[in-house]
Amino acid sequence: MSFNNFLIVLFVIATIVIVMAQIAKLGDMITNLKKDPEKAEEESSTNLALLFIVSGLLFVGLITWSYFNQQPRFLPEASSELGRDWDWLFYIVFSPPIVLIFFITHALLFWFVYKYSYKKGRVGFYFPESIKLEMIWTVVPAVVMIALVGLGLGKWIKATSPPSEDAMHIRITGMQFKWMINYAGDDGEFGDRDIRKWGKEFGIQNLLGLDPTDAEGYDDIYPDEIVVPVNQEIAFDINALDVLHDFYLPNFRIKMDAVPGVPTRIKIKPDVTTAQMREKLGDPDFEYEIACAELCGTGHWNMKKVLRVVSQEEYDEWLASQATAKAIYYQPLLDKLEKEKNLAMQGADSEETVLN
Amino acid sequence: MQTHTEHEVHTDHHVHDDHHHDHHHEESFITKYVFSQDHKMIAKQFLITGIIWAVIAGLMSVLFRIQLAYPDQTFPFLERLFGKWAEGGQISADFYYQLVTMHGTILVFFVLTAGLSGTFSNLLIPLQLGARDMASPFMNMLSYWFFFLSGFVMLLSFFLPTGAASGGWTAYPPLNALPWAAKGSQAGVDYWLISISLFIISVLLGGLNYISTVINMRTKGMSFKRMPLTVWAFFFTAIIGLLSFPVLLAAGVLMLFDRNFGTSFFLSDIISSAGEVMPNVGGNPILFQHLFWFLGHPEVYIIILPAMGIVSHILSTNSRKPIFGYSAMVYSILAITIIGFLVWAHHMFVTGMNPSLGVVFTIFTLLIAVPSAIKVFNWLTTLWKGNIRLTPAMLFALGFVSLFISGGLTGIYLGTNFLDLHLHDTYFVVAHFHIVMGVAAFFGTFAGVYHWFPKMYSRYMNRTLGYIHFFITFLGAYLVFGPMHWLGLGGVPRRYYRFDAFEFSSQFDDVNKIITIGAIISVFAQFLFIYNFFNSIWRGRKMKEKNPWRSNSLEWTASIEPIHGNWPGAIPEVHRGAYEYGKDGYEYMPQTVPVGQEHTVEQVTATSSSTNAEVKHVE
Repeated sequence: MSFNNFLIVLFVIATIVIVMAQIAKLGDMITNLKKDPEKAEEESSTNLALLFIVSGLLFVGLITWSYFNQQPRFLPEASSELGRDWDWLFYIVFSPPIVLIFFITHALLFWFVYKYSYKKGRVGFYFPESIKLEMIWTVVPAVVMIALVGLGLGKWIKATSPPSEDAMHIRITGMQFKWMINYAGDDGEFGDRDIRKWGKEFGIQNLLGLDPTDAEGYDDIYPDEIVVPVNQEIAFDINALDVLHDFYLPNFRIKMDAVPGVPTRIKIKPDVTTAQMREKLGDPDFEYEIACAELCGTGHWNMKKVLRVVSQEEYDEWLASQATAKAIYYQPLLDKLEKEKNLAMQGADSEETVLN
Repeated sequence: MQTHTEHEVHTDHHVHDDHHHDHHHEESFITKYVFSQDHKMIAKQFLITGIIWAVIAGLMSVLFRIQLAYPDQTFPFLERLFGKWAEGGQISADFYYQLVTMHGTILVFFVLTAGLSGTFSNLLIPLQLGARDMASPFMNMLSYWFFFLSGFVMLLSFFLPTGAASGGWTAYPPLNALPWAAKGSQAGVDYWLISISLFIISVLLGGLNYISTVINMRTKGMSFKRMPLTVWAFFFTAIIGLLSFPVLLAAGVLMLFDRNFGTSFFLSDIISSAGEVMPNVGGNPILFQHLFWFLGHPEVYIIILPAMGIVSHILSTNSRKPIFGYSAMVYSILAITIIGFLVWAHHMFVTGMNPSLGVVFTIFTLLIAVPSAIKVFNWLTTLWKGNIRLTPAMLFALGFVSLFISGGLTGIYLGTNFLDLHLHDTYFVVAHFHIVMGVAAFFGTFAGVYHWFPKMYSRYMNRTLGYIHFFITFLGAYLVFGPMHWLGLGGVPRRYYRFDAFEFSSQFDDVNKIITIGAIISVFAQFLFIYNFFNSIWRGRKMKEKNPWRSNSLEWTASIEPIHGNWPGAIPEVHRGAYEYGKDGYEYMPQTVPVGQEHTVEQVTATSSSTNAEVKHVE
């Protein structure tokens, strides 16, 4: 749209507003000319009540229709027990009473407005209080709420309890605007990190603050994608380096903030492989996607990672093909340390010479 | 309509006249319209400033909705308007986030807090309680001018070379605490924090005033139990504001320190984009969220309670029936006020806080559904067997009820910690809070403006235009925010500049277009209201009768032309509650009518007062 077109659009809108205003002025004038204002009130209220009911039907109908229209586009059935629990709690437990209340209250609202629209000479029914009625709609919602809390509680505890002993840990580090992934490698132990010490020492060369003297980190791997074996419990140990991020796995219905300085954790147990999902959905390009769900700056919308769920054999194969961190990350740091040490020793030597 | 009360006022006029001299003084333009200390003028100042801000924030939403619906199209007029922020006719990501941030900040604070509470608390508390003005008219004036100043600072930040704040209206650190983390986090956030601090001063000055006026300045006979629900709502709103806003002020000051003086309240273990390790150690970004939401959640009640009060009052007046369960309505506001302070961390289920804490906050959050449900059912019962007069104000009040139901129900999902794991920060949240606190509070405001416009300007707004405005806005609101629920269920995160980076979020192209078209229609429909409002100030039909809606409350016994001091004669005395509609066969009964004098009130019903007893029997 060019600037001129934009001006034209503005002009058209202004014209519409003015035309509507003039029509409205006429409408009011006609009403005000009527001799009996009460009768006029009655007429206009009846018409408006009808219009109100029509608009009510329209919006409730459209919302209902659009739900069924859009539903196929929602995320497919969750690929973990936790995710299916979520679907169950949302669709089976919470939605029926909530949708029911929505329809009942709206039906009453629109019906009352139509049924009791203004009549000349009628006096409203004096009904200021009924303890009985009010008790009903205090106690019933309270009971429903308690039931809902109770049903959700178990799932929440299950979802947030610490991961089991044999969970596989993966370290996730968020930074503007990417995720760093870290597997513990063969020894099952992560290399130590200390930003304050080692990050400071090496600056941009060592953003993660890897401790080059910790040999447990040498066999760690830092892959581009997350690959996990199916039916294995995964614990994500999440952290961030700069601002808040949020590690969001829509297909598993879970997310967790990544907070600089404060470690967080979630666990999932995928039980449908990517290949199975592709077949199920008839979509050969399907991937489990990971998004950022906490505003982290300009590139927030584009912090993507892929999680691939594979069979144990495929996983072992993939793992074997990954390069360890020793060569990529640790060796340059060690070399630099060595060099500095040599320099320092030379310096100390020369100092000694001077003193002598 | 010559009522008993008017008669009484006239006979007492000279007796009480010496109590009040203000209206004899001639006022200059400056003291009358600019630095006014008259609560009615201050209310108008708040309202008109709020309208201007609402227009700005509404147009911002049109801009970012265009980006979301047509991310690949270019609109050269945008470049012409915004220069470097929309190079090539496309809104840049930085600009997008500034727009989103400012849209939220302006609407939450400037429009729905100051514009709503500031307008109607100021207008109605003295008028409905029978006071000549606020407890401290001078503080009241300061309250507006601090608000004005705060808005001015915010406006300045739009023109900074690095732009306004862009880290979301919640201003979470570290994004907003680190100048290198985003363009908008440079000077923009400093301006934001200073502006919000000034705004908080405004809220506190206003709130103190509202509270002391309600406690001390009720007229004779106006016991707490006879106060209109509007005043009850404003009263509790002011208490909430007074208790929660200082916490945000503290958080804002701490953040200013973190940004400018090297403290580490919210920062620890951070590496800058240049790879430099920041010296900050020991702070916690989540701490800010606790402080922020300790205001932030009560803030939504600061927004919605005045709207609820206005809606309760208008529903009762226009149903020609007493509000059902007056005490339950008051106690439910009290319950919301108290529980509202105990639910803040339901915004933080996924921050890694202790899961047991998550359980506590879920319980309190769902508990707050109980007083909300009481209110909804009481409103519905108020309509039942009424004689419903569909003025524009009434339609907006009814629309409010619908929106409050819809938005309140989706809150049950979001308040449940387990369901929040998926829905948190998706469009489901956006849909929820826009309906329940955004649009609903706007509907409350519109209802109030249409209803009390004659009180403000002694003229009527155009009704037909009001109806057109209502139906477009009502359907438009659902057209915009209804489908957003489906996006949220599909997992689409909020605050995304475009949706095509992910497969799961890129499927809703057509829905996004519909939402955008709905948003454009809804926003421009508001110009009907604005035209109506400003046109009616000067050219609306003149108000000839004192009490056009045949309302019981006191504001309609004040003089038609707004005067300093509200009542030319003595302050009216109150003899009954505010909602005696249809009692003993009388269609309405102003609060000023003494018991036993009911027959002196002229009724519009076909039955004369002498046959009212019969009518009562028939009922």
